[in-house]
Amino acid sequence: MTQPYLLLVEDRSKDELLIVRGLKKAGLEAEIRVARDGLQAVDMLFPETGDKPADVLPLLILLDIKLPKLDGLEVLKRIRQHPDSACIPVIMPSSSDDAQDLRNACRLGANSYLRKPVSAQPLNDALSALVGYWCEFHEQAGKAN
Amino acid sequence: MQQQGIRSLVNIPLSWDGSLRGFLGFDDIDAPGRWQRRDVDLLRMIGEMMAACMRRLEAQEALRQFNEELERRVKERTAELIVANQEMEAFTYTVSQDLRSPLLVLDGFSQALVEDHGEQLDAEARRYLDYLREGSRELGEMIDGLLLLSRSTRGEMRREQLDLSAMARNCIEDLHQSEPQRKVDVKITEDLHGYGDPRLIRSVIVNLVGNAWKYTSRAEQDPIEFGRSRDMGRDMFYVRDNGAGFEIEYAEKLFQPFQCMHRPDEFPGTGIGLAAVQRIIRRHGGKVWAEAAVGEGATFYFNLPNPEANGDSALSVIG
Repeated sequence: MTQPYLLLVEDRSKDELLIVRGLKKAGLEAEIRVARDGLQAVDMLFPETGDKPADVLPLLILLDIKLPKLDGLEVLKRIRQHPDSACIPVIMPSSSDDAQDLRNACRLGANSYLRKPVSAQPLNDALSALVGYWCEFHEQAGKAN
Repeated sequence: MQQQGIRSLVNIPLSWDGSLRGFLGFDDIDAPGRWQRRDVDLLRMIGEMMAACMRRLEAQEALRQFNEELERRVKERTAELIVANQEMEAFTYTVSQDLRSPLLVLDGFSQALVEDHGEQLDAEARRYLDYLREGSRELGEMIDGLLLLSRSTRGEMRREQLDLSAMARNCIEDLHQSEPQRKVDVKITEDLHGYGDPRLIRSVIVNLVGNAWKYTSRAEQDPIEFGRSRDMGRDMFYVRDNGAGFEIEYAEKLFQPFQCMHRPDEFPGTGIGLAAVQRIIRRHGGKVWAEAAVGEGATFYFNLPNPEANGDSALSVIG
């Protein structure tokens, strides 16, 4: 079985370093795969043509809003559209403080929003808040299979 | 003329503004030379009246053309201005967004450095890092100010009834949370409502109350006030502090971007907030102004006219 992994979609390498640092500090040891733009993220999540998601999906997605090629909100829309990927927790870190971006992220079903720079504590808080839902979801999903 | 049966003819010249414009001719088909002085005088008078009328018509036409031209030019200029303004706003917005990313990296890594390697740094190194963070925080505030300034004139505006007292309370709660060590007495009048765009008016309250909080830091025993007063039947809201104040001659300057009354090390400030406040209030059809004296605090007044209420606030005066 493939090891569980996290998907980080971030175009700026320094922001990536800060987020990875935050994840490590929060005690997450899962593999972190990085997509550099929205299109790459979609290719990783939906490798086949059509809307079918990949067999092994990430446990968690950290998705920047402003991304080249395809922005984070579009990627989020794709993730929420298919039932197999609809329940993956998505945290959106962004430098935007535009209320419209926040509203859109919320409306499209982001689970959490983090303002950049992503420091350890807020990321830790966001992850802790998701853990209950996350464990419950995987337990239920495990039973169903 | 004989073919037409004309026996005699009087031609009255029509002239105005010093030039001959035409003739007014009268013919007689009955007899030659029957014109008397009286007739000619009368006809000349008619000619003068006609000339005066035609002169006026000509002037009116010229005026109409001039007005049309003027209107066209105004439209052109307005369109040019709108485009220039939109370009400038878009520029400010993009620049501020793009400036923010590298700044956040600076801030993020200096924080990470303190958190992860703080113990290996001596006191001086830590102090320098603090300066670095302070600098990036100030730059961040300026960028936020620029964004707010550009946003204060961009985009659609909603109008709804807002609970300004609640906004002020939330703002004070945030300030208390960010600086829990400070004890600032605050008086907020309950149930103050106004019409406006929730997002923009919140920025106004955050700026004015935030300023009061900032400048009151040297005189902690005096309260910050948010209330309403009435002058000539007009409602206005005010935010009062009892801090450093400023010389009233500079009151107008306060509302221009990047103007700050105090040295930055005395009271930190970006000088953009009040410019944004003024733009927002003006966009709502209201006015903002300040009263102050050095050492005696400052009061900022603003009003928010209700666009649906006719006859200003006559009803609220009775009520």
